[in-house]
Amino acid sequence: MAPIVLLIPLLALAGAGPPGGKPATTAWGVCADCHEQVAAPFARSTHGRLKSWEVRGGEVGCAACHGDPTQHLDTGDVEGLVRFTGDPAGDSAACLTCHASRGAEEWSAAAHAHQLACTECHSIHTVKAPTSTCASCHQEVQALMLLPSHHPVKEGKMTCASCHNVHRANPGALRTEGRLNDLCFTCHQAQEGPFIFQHAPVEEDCTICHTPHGSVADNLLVANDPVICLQCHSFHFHMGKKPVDTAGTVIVGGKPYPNVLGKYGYSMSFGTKCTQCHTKVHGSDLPSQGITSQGRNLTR
Amino acid sequence: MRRVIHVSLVLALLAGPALAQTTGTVTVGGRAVDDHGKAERAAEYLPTTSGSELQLVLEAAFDKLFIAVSSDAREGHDQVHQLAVDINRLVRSHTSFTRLPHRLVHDPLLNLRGAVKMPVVTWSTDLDPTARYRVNYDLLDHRTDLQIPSAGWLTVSAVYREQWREGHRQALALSHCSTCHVLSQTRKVDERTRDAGVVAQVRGKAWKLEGSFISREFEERAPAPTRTYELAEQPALRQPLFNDRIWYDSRNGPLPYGVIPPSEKDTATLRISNPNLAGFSLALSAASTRLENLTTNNKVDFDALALAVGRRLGKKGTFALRARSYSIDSTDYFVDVPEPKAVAGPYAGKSYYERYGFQPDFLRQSAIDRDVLEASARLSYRLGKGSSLIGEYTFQNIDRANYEVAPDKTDTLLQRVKLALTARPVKGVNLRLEGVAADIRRPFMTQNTACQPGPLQTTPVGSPILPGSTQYFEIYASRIGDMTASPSSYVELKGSAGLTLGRSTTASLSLRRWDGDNTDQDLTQWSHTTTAATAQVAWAPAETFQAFVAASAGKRELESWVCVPLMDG
Repeated sequence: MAPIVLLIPLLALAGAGPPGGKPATTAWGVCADCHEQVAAPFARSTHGRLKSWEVRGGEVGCAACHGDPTQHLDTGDVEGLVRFTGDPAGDSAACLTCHASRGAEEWSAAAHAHQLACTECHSIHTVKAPTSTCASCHQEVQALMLLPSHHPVKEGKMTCASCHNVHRANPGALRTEGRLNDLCFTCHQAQEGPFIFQHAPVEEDCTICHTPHGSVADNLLVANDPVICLQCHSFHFHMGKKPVDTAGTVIVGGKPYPNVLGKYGYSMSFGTKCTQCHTKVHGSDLPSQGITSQGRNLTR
Repeated sequence: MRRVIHVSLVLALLAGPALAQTTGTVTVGGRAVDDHGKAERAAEYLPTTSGSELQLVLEAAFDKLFIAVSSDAREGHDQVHQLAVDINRLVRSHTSFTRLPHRLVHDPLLNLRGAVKMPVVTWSTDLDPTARYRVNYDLLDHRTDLQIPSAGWLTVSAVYREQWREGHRQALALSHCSTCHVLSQTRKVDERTRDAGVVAQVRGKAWKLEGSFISREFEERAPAPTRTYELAEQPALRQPLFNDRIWYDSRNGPLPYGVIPPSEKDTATLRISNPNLAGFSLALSAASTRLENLTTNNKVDFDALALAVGRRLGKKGTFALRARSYSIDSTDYFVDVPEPKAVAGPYAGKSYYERYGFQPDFLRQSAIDRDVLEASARLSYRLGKGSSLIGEYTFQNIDRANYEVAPDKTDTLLQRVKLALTARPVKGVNLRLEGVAADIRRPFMTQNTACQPGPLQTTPVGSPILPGSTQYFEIYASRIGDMTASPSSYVELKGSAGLTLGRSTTASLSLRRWDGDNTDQDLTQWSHTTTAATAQVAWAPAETFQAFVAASAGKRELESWVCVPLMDG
């Protein structure tokens, strides 16, 4: 609970002296006379609370983005104001005045730059849900998230922004300074190791086996086990052994064992689900049992 | 199947004289749920009990203090809470807490019921057959920014993230030789991850410098499950003929399995940027990560340099370039495999190595070690309002240190071209078309992983009773087929159309086709095609009322040749 402890002394600063700079309210107060519906939520927004010392040029409030309102106040004419019309370059230029050094440093090289104006995703005066913002263009991704296996996005426990930062120039706009795998390991550390006994595709790229936006197969797999495994491996050679044809009980070492599946029993044992035995497909520090496989079979 | 009925009552909080700038809403509701006993399938992350629901959104603005609170709680393990505090812009903090259940499948292992005529059997034992597995996931995320008026150019931030996974899951362990016996038991899960760090940002007139250091600790606090492996006996004869080829068995007593090692990961980043340097936007960054397995002291080092450049070309064109070079270097690990001696049979007193000449010891060199250079260049041209044309070329070269993807070749070269058109032909209609074509020379491949060329041996395999029989390591070494789940080329086509109908209704249709294959394999072929279509209509006649209908159809075809070794040892 360290963050809560951290907050306590910070809350004590609430009564500290004036930080300097004019409060935002003086700048937009005059606009609120006519634009009350916009001004009320804006006053509580981050932009509405900005102090002039935070902003280069010191301009805060409506005029910081919309420009000098003098002509508009005199004549009602909107031509002199900066208006946000959905032009990617024009709208973004106004935003980047501040945000080029506040989180959008790589925006000009990012995938969405020049296609989208900031205002197509961000609602400056109110708040838009990030998921619905992305889904308005990426319907196919939204559809994948409705498949049986998915990350908890539609349940409201993650958003697209949990993994993506569209303001960065990273491949896939991934929210990581490392590789895609590093992003996955942000939440799935148990699979990171690094292990002694490794599985090469895990080291290569998580998306060889997993499809992160949604899957019909379990555990966000590209295909269910054993199909996913058989793209790189042959079937277990024990599958070819001659089975006991009849269902019933088999006595081995004086002990009875059920062979309820008859002649299909052995092939079903070795051909249904590889991970029933090879449980540690992401790697392990412990050897499998066989010396002949050098302990590398990822069963322990 | 899961059915949920929600009933909600929204109460608007009225502003009172004492808190003139306080606003908020409280939503009280309830739900009735029926999951037909398959909660892990129908509601992987959702509550499956009927009950009350509460949503709260509250903002309070004082002279020098702003607090925003939001809560969404359905049951004890399904909650999202957020707290934002702004103290006169000097201190700005955001804290969120998310809790969700994650239901896990319980495999009954009923397919593990087989027998062959030697006789040898496969079987399973579930020590907790009625258990329903679930892990509760909690995430606390916090960031506090500090900035003072006399040094507005400097922002120092503290970040903290803590993640818990608590619950129980199925733990399987295989013991083989005397039989193939999979044991299932319940294991406790108690994983903790802590990220703590600082971020400092220095903003000059044009340049910005940002540095961060984040330290992560991960541990699984719950003990690993244990298993007493079965006695290493030749299965048909029930004689101790296999002692020379088994690393451990019942004589070693209970042994842990499924161990999750604790680890530490430190990440440092540094970025310098300028939004307008002679007409170019420029961001140069470096990242360095050190990961260590605290049990084995295995380490992985990651070091990267990246460059992002953007520039406008005239009034309508833009150019962007991104490049990154990184290297990964990890610890080699010498695996010293024990060499027990056979206690019975014709080779009693000899180790497996002494009899067959197979040296099981090896130096593990990781497949992760590599040098990578990647770059992309993008040109875009604005055709008109809401319309643009974009072309992009991407290049990536991976040179692995220890892993071959083709005979004597460790490198993969990817080249990808993308063309995208966004258009708004008439008001209320949006169109997006995108095509991607990629060529991957020597994609990730598993060499000699399948397909023996023919009968190796007519005698039974692996029995010390028949000394001339083929051993497992010889079977592995005889495989000649290269296989993969990665394409050597693919084409992806995407299209979507959006239509705005009046002020409250929107409709959209999207189509996607991905078609890839791999022709680099020597004996087998691989291809994968996905076709998907989604249509949706949204109706939002009022701010508090929205209706949404969507239909999606998808088809996937995977063609991958499978090798089935026939062996009747």
